[in-house]
Amino acid sequence: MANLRAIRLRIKSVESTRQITRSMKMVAAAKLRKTQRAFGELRSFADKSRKMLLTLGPAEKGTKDPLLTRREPSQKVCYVLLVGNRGLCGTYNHNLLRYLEELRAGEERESFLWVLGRWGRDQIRDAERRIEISDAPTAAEARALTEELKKLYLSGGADEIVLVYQGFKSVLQQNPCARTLLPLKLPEGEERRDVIYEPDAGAVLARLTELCLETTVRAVLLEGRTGEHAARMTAMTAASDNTEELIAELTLELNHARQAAITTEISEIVGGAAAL
Amino acid sequence: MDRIALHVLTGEGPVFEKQVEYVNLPTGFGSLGVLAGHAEMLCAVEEGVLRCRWSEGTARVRVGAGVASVGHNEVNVLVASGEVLEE
Repeated sequence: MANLRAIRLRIKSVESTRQITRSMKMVAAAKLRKTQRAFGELRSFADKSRKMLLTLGPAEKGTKDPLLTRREPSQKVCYVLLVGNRGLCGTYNHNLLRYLEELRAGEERESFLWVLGRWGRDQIRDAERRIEISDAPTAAEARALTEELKKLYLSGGADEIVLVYQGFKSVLQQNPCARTLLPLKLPEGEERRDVIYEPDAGAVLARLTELCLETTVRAVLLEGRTGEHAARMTAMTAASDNTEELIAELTLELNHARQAAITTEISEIVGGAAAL
Repeated sequence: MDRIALHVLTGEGPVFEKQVEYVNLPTGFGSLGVLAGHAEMLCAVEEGVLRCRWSEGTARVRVGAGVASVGHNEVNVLVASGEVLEE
């Protein structure tokens, strides 16, 4: 009978785990939808600003704007790593760390690390700065982060700033990737002479650069968070499926034990009756 | 009268989109009027009020700093912030 009670307790505990993983899956799904929608809305803005850069890039090839000029020599790289806000999302965070290690191992220049996301606060020790980013990054958060990164770059604290994050391919697939934020690389091409610039190409480019930096940062934050929610949703779906399997196995075990107990009881009764 | 497709966008989505006949952009050297058939242009937009007009009405949009592209009867205004003002 003790065995039966133990199995029943175990089933109850697995059932409550199932309830937790199911709720986490639903929360992740809701957050995923929210970040995906925001990402979609940003895309049209990003596409239009890229189109403008395509026209401006060739016109301002020789620009001296510090945000657009590669420093020689470039000695210090700042890696800005966007990790998740929490764990329980499969290999999302660990794959990123491994990718970053490989990047830094192949880098000959001096490098240092900024970490975005709560998970990194406890897990990554050598970060020079830690910044919290919400589950659905807003334009204000992206603006504040862009300003900090710009300040770091312009003050000479870093000669290059690289964003490292999980690129979102699909709900089931995220790939770690790196993207240079600063200096911003202008697209090359044929200069168009039929376009009017008001007041001049340099002023328009300076304004567009500000917008592009902010858009890039926000796109990366949203893409990383979308991937995190997707990874958590997948992980929690798998966990919920596992609990289902476990419950089925335990129920079978319970029935066997119950049957065995009944058989023993009957044979005891029969044995007792025969003895009389 | 020919119309222009006006799109005022921020990173958080479109603020104002309409087929209009005339757009007035706030720039550093005063306001700049755009009619259908305008030559291709890229211009820096300053913080201020964008005005537009079509046969049935008018609208005003408060915009933050940004850039605007004009061409092929389309005006795209990319700004840091935007808000449609009550008429």
